[in-house]
Parts: sequence; C-alpha cells; structure tokens
Amino acid sequence: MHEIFLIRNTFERIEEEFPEKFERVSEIHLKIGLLSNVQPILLTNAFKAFVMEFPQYYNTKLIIDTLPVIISCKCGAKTKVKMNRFVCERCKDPCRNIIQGEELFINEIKFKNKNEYDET
Amino acid sequence: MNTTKPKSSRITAGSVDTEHVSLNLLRANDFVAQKIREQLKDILVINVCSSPGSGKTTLMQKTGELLKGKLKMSVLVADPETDRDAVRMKESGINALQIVTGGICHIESQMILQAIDLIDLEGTDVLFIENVGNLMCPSSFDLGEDYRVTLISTTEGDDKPRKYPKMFLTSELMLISKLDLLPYLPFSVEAVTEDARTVNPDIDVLEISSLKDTGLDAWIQWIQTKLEEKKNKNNYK
Ligand SMILES: Nc1nc2c(ncn2[C@@H]2O[C@H](COP(=O)(O)OP(=O)(O)OP(=O)(O)O)[C@@H](O)[C@H]2O)c(=O)[nH]1
Ligand SMILES: [Mg+2]
Ligand SMILES: [Zn+2]
Repeated sequence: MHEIFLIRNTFERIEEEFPEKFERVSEIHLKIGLLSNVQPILLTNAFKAFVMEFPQYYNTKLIIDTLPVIISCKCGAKTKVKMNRFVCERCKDPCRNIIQGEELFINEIKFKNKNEYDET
Repeated sequence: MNTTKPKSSRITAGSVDTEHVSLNLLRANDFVAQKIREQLKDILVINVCSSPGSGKTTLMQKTGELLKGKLKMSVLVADPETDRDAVRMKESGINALQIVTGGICHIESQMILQAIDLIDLEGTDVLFIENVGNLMCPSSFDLGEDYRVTLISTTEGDDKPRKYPKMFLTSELMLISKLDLLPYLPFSVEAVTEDARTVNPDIDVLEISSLKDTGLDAWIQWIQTKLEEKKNKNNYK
C-alpha cells in the first residue's frame, strides 16, 4: 500500500548515489523478495503515476525481479518456502533462517549517455 | 556542455552506461530507527501491531491501569486520521501523543523521531507505539523498537499468521485478543498458535481479554521481564 512511497524512495536513492547523472536514468532494476509485502503490479502502477508527474522520466523503464523465499536449515538443506510454511523440506524442522525473500533494493541502473543530450 | 570534444569521439545515440548496485530502499528508515534505539536505550520500546480494531487501544488503556504504581508507561499512537485513540488513552490517565499519518498505511521511523521530541518521556519505563491497524505494511518498517507485539483477535479467524507472514516473522509475541468471544466463534487457539509457529517457531503466545481481564497478568509479567532484561543488558555494557 506504500508503493508510491517506494517509487519516490527509488528515485531519491538514485539521486543520492549518482548526483551527476540521475536525471539521465533510463532503466531501473529492482529486486523484490516475496516477504517484502510489495506487489509488483501495484509498484508498476505507482511508477506510471510517478512519471506522469515527472515527465522527464517518461521513457524510464522499471524492471522488477521477484525472488521466492528460501530458508537454509541447520541440516544443510535449502528449501523454497511454499504457502508460507517455514519448515525444512529434508528434516521437517521449523526454520526461520531466511537467506532470500526479504530483498527490497535496486540492483542495476542504466543511464543514457550524456552526449545524446548535448546533440540536441 | 563539452564543446571542445570533436563530434566523432562521442558515443553513438542509444548508448547507456550501466551501474550494478545494491541500494536498499528502506535504508533511510533503518538509519533513523537505529538513532531512535540509541536515544531510547533506557526505555523499553514495544511496537504494537494488528489489523484495524483488534483491541490495541483497549489493551493500552488496561495496561495503563495495571502498571499504575509499578512502571511508568507512555504511548505514541498512530492512525491515518483523527486523534481519537490518544484522547481515549489520556482519559485513562496515560501519557499519550497522537501521530496522524495523513492516510499513510504505516508509521515510519522519522515520524517516531519527531514524536519523541514532542512527548515528555521523563521517568518513562515503557514506551508503546500503537501502529496503524494493518498487518502488511507496518511489518517492513523498523521503528527502533525492542520488541514487536502483534494482536490477533478471535473475530479475525485463526488462519491469519500464514497470510501475513512478515508480521508474524518479525514479532516476538502474539497476543490472541478478545478471548471472551471464543464461545461464539469458530476460532481455535491451537490452530492459530500452530499457524503462527509454522511461520515463526520462536514466537511467544498469550491469550487475553481486555474486556474481562483475562490473561493480563501474564502480559504484564512479559513486559516486566523484558524491561529487566533490557536494564541488565545495559548494565553489562
Ligand atoms: N469483546 C471484546 N471486545 C473488545 C476487547 N478489546 C477491545 N474490544 C472492542 O473492540 C473494538 C476495537 O477496539 P480498539 O481497542 O479500538 O482496537 P484498535 O486495535 O485500537 O483499533 P484501531 O486503532 O482502529 O486499529 C472496540 O469496540 C473495543 O471495545 C475484548 O477483549 N473483548
Ligand atoms: Mg487504536
Ligand atoms: Zn533441515
């Protein structure tokens, strides 16, 4: 429900990290774990709403990679969590050692080359 | 604009440069939460979460009564709109401050940092944060709390923990509330406990009714134990 907030944060993080070229961002890749409570479709909609307000980002693409939840048990087995059942597939022990699924980060950003701007 | 460069050396149209990064989208929130933790190191901070209407405010009022003369508690209470909950708590004699989130579905740590400047915490042993009624969004936001407590009322059905796994994964205690209604509802305490432990095997579970004063001694005991643990930890540092 706070997808707009996340989109705004996404742009803020990029601005913070790449102050010299954030305005030329052309592609943003997000990694989103299933446990982050973020719905990719809602995020995509929020992104569309955001670029309507900030037309300079009209051609910017958002690519979302969703990651399933994986737990790693003491017995050494890794289990892909299904139906939110946090139980090891091999030894059937309960396990909350989550090694994937809580992600909520930008992992790749593409920027248009500056010269394309200089030409115009 | 670089005018000295010959045109031929420019990279052709359509070229991009790619940055491989790992930029956490909640970093600002987590950073502020850590600041709150440092600032409130002598106060036990408990983040109280649940669906709308599970009985958070009623429990805060009861807790205030039961802690009277034992511990001093304060409450920051957040709602999308109105200051009704803070008014209710103040009427019960509790030091409370309303945070109006303006329609936002969760509290962010920045709101707490501002609020702790406005509320008088002198002498406070336990600070409760009553979160916005919502089992989804608040689970992602660290508020600098020591513990997260989630209420689930008997009217909500016993299948909720696995529907909202993040909340129960990140809670240390699940309070099954409105126990007085149990005779009228198809709700199983065993089933909800099992469901919660499927997500989080370490979660503590207590059964309460704020209306009929059931199980509240154990809740008060839980608070006192956690406060002592925190004080002891501070002393060893
Ligand atoms: N039967 C019964 N009703 C209760 C109990 N605790 C609270 N209620 C009722 O449940 C309703 C909601 O209680 P609140 O304390 O306002 O719940 P809340 O979680 O603070 O609600 P929001 O802040 O709006 O999310 C009220 O009508 C309470 O009187 C209980 O132990 N038993
Ligand atoms: Mg309330
Ligand atoms: Zn195992």
